Amino acid sequence: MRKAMIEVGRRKLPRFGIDRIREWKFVRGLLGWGRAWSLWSVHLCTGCCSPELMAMACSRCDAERFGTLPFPSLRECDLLFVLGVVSEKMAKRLKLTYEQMPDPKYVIALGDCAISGGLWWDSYNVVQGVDKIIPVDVYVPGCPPRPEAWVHAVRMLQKKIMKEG
Amino acid sequence: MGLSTFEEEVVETIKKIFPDYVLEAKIQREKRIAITVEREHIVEVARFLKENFGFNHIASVTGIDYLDKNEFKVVYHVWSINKRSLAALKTSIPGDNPHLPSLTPVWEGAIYHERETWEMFGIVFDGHPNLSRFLLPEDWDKGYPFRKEFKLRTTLESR
Repeated sequence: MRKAMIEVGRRKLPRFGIDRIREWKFVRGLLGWGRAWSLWSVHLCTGCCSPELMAMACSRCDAERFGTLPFPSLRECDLLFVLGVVSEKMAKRLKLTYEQMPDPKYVIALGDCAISGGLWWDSYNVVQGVDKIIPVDVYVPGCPPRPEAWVHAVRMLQKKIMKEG
Repeated sequence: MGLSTFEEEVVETIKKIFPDYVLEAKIQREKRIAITVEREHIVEVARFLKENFGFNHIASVTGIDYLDKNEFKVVYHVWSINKRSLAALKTSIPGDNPHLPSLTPVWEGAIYHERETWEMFGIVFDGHPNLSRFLLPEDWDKGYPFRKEFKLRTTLESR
């Protein structure tokens, strides 16, 4: 079978699909590096962890140093922060939010409520953990977690992305 | 200068005008009035309170479940903003037939409160313009969560 060839100037090179190029170790590292440092984030704030977001995004911890920029349009975002308790009614909206984000996408569950339901775990209307609805990459315990814990979670996620590529 | 305060005036007038319907009317403490009414005549008393004493702001509608007596109690908390006084308009309804005339013709703001009381306690407000799901999911079918016979997860698992 003849190999498909592509002409570049006078030289003839084998045709690679973009998927083949992505397999190269160098390109994979480059892509991972790019993704890890441009994590634009959606903030799904349903509880009282959201004031910690201000401490994390503003001048003291300055999340933009790590490329996590809170961004208003979720169709251009890579990272979903779930803050606070998720009710059964909110669960459908959370899934909808997750499905609207483009691949590759990552989720960080912040606070005890998002991890397990927190104080309201035995309520009639509370989902016991966000991971029953969407896959979660990093869990941050605390009620609420400190802004430093957020920053640590973002760094952990960056390491995970760079390893995966 | 009359010695009677606004609260005393409200209680005396209510007792005088509705002697049959009003089961109890008293001052609980300063600026707090409690009135217990029969459920068929709650609209009349509410309209009287609004038009004559300026109780114009509805703060909350609460349901109470008395499981042993097999009855519900509904409490309307109404503020008079001019006089800085709060009135609790109470009525009890049987558990087998939880129907109550809606107070939305009197206080428009009761629409959301009564929707919530309906979905949490199953108390039907007759004459309510839109009695539909408010806080619970749209496809909720597990019953009325604020009733005492409602079972939580831990109660179910321990049995």
